[in-house]
Parts: sequence; structure tokens; C-alpha cells
Amino acid sequence: MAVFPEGPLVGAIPERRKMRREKSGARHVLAVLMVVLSLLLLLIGCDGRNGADLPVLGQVDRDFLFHDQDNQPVTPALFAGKVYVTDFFFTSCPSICPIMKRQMVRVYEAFRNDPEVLLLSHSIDPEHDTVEVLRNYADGLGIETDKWHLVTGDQEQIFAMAKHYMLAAMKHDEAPGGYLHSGSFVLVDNQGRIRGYYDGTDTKEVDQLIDDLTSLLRHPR
Amino acid sequence: MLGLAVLLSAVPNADAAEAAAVEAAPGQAVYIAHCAPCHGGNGEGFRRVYPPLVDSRFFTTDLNRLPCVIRYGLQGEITVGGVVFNQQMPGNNRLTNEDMLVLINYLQQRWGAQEQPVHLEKWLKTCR
Repeated sequence: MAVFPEGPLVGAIPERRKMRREKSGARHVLAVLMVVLSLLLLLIGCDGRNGADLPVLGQVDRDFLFHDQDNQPVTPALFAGKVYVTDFFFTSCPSICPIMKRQMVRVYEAFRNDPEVLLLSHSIDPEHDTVEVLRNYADGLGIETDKWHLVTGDQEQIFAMAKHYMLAAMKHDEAPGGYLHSGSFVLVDNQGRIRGYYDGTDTKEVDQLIDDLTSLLRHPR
Repeated sequence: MLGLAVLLSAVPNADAAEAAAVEAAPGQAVYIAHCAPCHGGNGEGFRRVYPPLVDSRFFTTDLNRLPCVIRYGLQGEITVGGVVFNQQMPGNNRLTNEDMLVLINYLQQRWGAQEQPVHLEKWLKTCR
């Protein structure tokens, strides 16, 4: 910047005009920089929905004790501070479960290397789906237990958890497989708050789940 | 527009493949409703949980075993395309014999070698 040893007012008017032009020029550059910076922040910031914008649909705070495919006890403690996706299924289900599992595998692969994300699938037919059956099924899927727990346990407790997550699960003679249950995937944040329900048989909804989960990880609040 | 499409599709076509495809349509509907969720829309299977159906011996050499498998399921270790599967296929008692017949014809046509006659009642008697 030009220095006027005699003070800013000294000097010919053209010089002052020049200085004013320089100042406003600098201001323009600054303004442009600000706009560019904000645009950049907007772009590299959250794409899709902001994690904080996801609705809070409920609080998960029921105690449970189930066992997973490795016969490890599974309790709420395992999910404390983690973001997780949960659903209800049974291995001999002929209709929606296979489709749900295909979709859950997509979620598994998307967050495979992120230790902050866990998956929890409950069997609603624990009489058939013993730890051994779940172990076998997990082997077939090729999944790691500590990332994706397939659990079995007391049937009433499992139905109670479904109710707690506000999903339907019940025995029904007319239903294919003998059970009626919701095909929803439930997204729970690291404070145990339900942030979304997604149709686990619908690719687009699972796409949205993956997006929302990503947003939650970036903006935990 | 729809009317035109209907008219066009009603035009008799001497193409044998197309005639066969039209015949297989009810079988395809049964497949999509009852089998595709696990075995996939294109019979591709899924990981090592649901075996692929493409070139399955159940549609060729072991066709006589197929009705029992469809109605009563299958469990225990089997090797399909060099991959070992050991899951439980649930039986399906909602398919009538008629449904099964159209389904099996579809399966043969899509993934079998040649169309063999299906002796449904006789083969169902051998189920354990």
C-alpha cells in the first residue's frame, strides 16, 4: 500500500482517487474471496441432509440380553456411543428377509471400515434360529461378528424390543414363514436416539439410510 | 397408445422362442413371487447363503428331486458350482401341484438343458 509521508490528505486529488480505487479494489477482492470461501464451505460441508437435521423419533433405553452368532452376550453396552442400524428377521423367512439381508449387506460394506458403526439383526424365530444356525448363516454371508451381530434369545424379549423400536413383529399362521414383521431398518445415533426408519427392501431408501448415516458420523449432534 | 401395443402383441408370431416365452410367463410369475427373493431375479444366488440356479443339476440330471426340494425344502451340505453351501432352504406348501408344474417348466426353460417331462405326482411320492 502506498505511503504518503505527508499524510493521506496531502498529495494531488488523482492520488487520493487512486488510493480510493485501490481500497475499493481490495474490498472487491475481499468480497469475492468471502463468497468463494462460503461456497467452498457449503460444498465440502455436509452433502445431503445435515446430521443435525435428522428428526429425533424416539429414545432407545430398554435393557436387553441376547446372544450373537459367536454366543457372545449382546447388551445395550455394546452399542453405547456407536451409531447402529437394527432390524428384525428370521433365517427361514422366504419373502422379505432375503431382500433385507441383501440390503443390510450394502450397509455393512459401506461402513465396513468405520468402527463407529455397528449392525444388529434380531431373529424373531429364536426357536429355529439358534446360535449355531446364526453362526452358519453368518458364515454364508461372510460377515464379521463384531461388526454385525445376529442375535437370538427369549422370543418375548425380542418381540418387546421390536415394540420398543416401534416395529411390528408377531407370530401369524397365514403369513409366509409364520411370522409377520416389519421390513424396516432403524437408524440409531450414538446417544441412543432413533433418527430414521427405512424400508429395508427398497434400494433407494437404503441409499438414503447410507447418506443419513454418513451425515450423522460427520455431524454427531 | 396402449391399445396399439395390445394389438401389436396379439399379432401371431411364428418365432418359436417367443411362443415358448409366452408359455413360460405364468412360471416366471411364480418364480418371482416365491423364489427370486432368495435366489435372485436372474438366478444368481447371494454370497454363500442362497445358491445360484444357473445350470443347476436340479433342472437336468436331478429333475426328479426338484418337486420334493420345492415343497419340503433342503438342508445339509451341497456343492453348487464348486462352492459349498450349508444352509436351510425352507419348504413351500403354498404352491399347488399346478403352480409347481408351471414353475418347473419355467426353470427348465430358463436354466435347464432341454425340456424333460415332469412326473410330478410320482416324484412327490418319493419325498422323505
